[in-house]
Amino acid sequence: MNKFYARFRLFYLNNSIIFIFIALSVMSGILSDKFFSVRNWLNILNNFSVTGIVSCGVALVLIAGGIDLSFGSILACCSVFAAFLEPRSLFLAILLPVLLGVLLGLFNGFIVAKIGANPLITTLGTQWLYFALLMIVTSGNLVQGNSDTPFHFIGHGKIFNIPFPIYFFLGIVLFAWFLSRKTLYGKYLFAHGSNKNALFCSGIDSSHIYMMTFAIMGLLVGIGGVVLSSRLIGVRPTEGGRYLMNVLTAVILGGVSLNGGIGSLVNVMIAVVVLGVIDNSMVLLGVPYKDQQIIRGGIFILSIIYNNYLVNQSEIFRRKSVSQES
Amino acid sequence: MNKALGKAFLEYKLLLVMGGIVILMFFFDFTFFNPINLINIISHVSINGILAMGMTLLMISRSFDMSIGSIMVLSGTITVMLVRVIGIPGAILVGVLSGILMGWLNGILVAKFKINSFIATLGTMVIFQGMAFSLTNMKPISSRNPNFQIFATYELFEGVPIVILYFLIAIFIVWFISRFTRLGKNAYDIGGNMDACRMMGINVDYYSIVFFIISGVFASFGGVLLSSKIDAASAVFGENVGLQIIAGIVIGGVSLAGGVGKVMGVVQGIILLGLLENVTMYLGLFGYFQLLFRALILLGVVIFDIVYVNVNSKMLEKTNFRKMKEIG
Amino acid sequence: MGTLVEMKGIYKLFGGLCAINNVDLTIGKGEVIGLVGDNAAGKSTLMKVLSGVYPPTEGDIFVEGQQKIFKSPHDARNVGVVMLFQDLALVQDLDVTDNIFLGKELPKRIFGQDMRFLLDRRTMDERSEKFLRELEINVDSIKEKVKNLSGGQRQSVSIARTIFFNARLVILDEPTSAISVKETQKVLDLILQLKKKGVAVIIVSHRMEDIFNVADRVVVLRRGKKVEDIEKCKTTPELIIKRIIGLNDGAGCNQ
Repeated sequence: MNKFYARFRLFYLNNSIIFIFIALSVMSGILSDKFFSVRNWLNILNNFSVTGIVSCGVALVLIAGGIDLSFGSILACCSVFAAFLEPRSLFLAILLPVLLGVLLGLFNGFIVAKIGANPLITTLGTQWLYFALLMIVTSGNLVQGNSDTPFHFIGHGKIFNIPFPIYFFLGIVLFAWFLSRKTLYGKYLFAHGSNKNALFCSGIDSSHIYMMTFAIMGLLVGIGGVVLSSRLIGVRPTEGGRYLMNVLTAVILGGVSLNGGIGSLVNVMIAVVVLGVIDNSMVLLGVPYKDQQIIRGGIFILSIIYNNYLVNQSEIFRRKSVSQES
Repeated sequence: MNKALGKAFLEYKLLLVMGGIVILMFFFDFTFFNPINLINIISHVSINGILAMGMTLLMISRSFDMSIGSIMVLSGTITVMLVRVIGIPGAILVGVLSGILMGWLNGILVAKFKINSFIATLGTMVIFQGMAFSLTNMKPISSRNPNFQIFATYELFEGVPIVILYFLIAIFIVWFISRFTRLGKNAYDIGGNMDACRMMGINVDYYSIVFFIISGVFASFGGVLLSSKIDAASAVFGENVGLQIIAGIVIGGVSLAGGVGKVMGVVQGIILLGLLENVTMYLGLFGYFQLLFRALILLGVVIFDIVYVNVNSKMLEKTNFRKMKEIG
Repeated sequence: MGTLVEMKGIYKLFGGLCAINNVDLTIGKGEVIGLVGDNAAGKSTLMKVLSGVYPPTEGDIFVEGQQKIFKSPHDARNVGVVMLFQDLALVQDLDVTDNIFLGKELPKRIFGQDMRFLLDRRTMDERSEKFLRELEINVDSIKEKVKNLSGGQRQSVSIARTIFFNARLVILDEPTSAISVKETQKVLDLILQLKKKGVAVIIVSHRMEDIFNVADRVVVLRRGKKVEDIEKCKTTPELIIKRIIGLNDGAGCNQ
């Protein structure tokens, strides 16, 4: 019994986002009777599918001990490219933007991992670089797509009455979770974030792992870009900017450490849904649009404080249990 | 001799880049050298420069403030709204003082609640901007008081606006703090090794909060100037300002790892960015070329520093080994 | 006892600073060497050169008579030279098994094919559990994260790891500096076990008593130069300490 309690407590301390999620959902359910309808939940997931896909990629980079600010620009580049290619070929409109995402991610990774520049400043630079190039190429204009091609299905189609982007979202989460937990790469990913010297001393090319992580982020952002492009029909080059805050919020709320080495993709997914729930309930409760941002920021700060408190508690708890045994 | 040359090159590389740009402009468009244009460049970067000065000490002590853009707009908004209620001097005073409160909040979150400064100020960035949204109802607002503009646009001499003076004062204050006061020395020490400072009995949390407050006050002063300059405030003015300022400071030679950096370097970095903006305008290029140049300069400086340090230490190793062998 | 590793005329400069100045060192098979010296005497640097972390500015390393150039720790590991860094050897956020198998993971077999990118966690758990039991190392659970272990357990796990890499020479950087007396004895026992298996060990340490407990030979570095290389039975801790601080050391004092 005691051991069971200890386990539960540790789980609770390390996965606070799950309990935040449950508490918020119950609260919203009480305040609004529309909240617990299937349609509402599909709506939430559908609206946050692109955020979720991108968050998975960014979470991997943070676990590896880096950070990326350029994903918004990469997302914009990929989705505009997809919209541009879409009238020409369905196949290329899916393949090439994803490849472009990988390339742009790889460029970040090369500068950060191989040259050794600070990831925050580097990706700030590449964020502007990609965005400026995109604006120069498109002259800042909307890139128009068609609304009745097969490409349209990616963003708007339904299978078993469930919108197609949700499958993408869940599939990507599954993929990223598998990658981080079950593969050799995933183990090295965590090891790189936690202690890259140990990797180096074990004879593993840690910079390669790091660079590949940026490339994988590019891949996922590229996929997000294709989905986004298909959802929107016409894509503005400025589309990526909105995602910066949401994605970073989701990843950090999901318990991924900025110092690297700690994080769970499942928790990140739940954090994305939490953001969706917050947005959704603010609409259902009729909070004026002008006040929504304060609430979002407030919840962000409070959950970070709460999460820090729990992490501290879990350290104390562990130390106690270790000292009891010895 | 060689060593001294290398060091001088490192110190003045930004001036060299600026010199290069100016010489290029010589061939394109001679009106660039109009004194009015040169003053224009300085006065244009003044507000950003004041913000950068405020954050310099903070970044030397190894923290950031992503929220300065939002502090700027919130202070500007408060000032513009209060001009109608309590008059111009009172409004300006309250606007600047509001920066203390916001900086203090950032400092508390980072120093007392132990949140990473990037995350904490990202959160307050959203909150402060949200407050500005709420206050302005998401529309630009104006004080409708013509005298309010004098605070920023008063001309000292023919064509020299007073913002340049404010900028110079800001440079002087921060330069003085960083060179001659205990506060400045502690910024370098805390940035260099925070744990050691804590063990030496330096109240790291207190200083951290002070640096955040300095950053907040300078940002809100910049915000008041901006709103006074155009007699308007809007919650979207401050978007991306934080990242721009951080980039300028890094270009100016302050390391993100903390403990390194000079105030005059930051001034050069900020002026270089202003020069780029002016040049793209003069050449009649599409506005986003400015962003492109800024990104390239940022990446170039960051990569150059790393490569230079690597190559330099390898060369030193070789030459010193040869010398040692010769001596025996 | 044959010679395992020989270092000849090693120099290492950092920028202008000369950290290692013409050092020779011979290590026999199954020999335990204590490497001592003051702070900044060049102990760690010499060991990092030997384990491939830094390339030497000049000098040669021979392993069983053959010249080797270590470009990375990986190269050193391939010929059996492994260094355990103080607090650097293990990844704190991974569990015990993952750490023991770091760099030598077992691939999962699916349909008789090795899937190199997948991990066979179950077999690795079984093998590491058995392995730790053989070496009499106690950890609560093989699934425990390393950051939750005590200092002595961590050190034991990282020494155990080297055996997995078929190490022939293990370099330990301050293996007993941050752990309790009881656990120190365990670590020293483990070192003797390594010796029994024919593995050579170099211990870098400040603690004379530990070194005189297990070492066969003591090497003293001072300001990047080797000033003493002597069998343990021919010297005493007092003499060694005198060498470390440079008493009776005319040549060293003049520099």
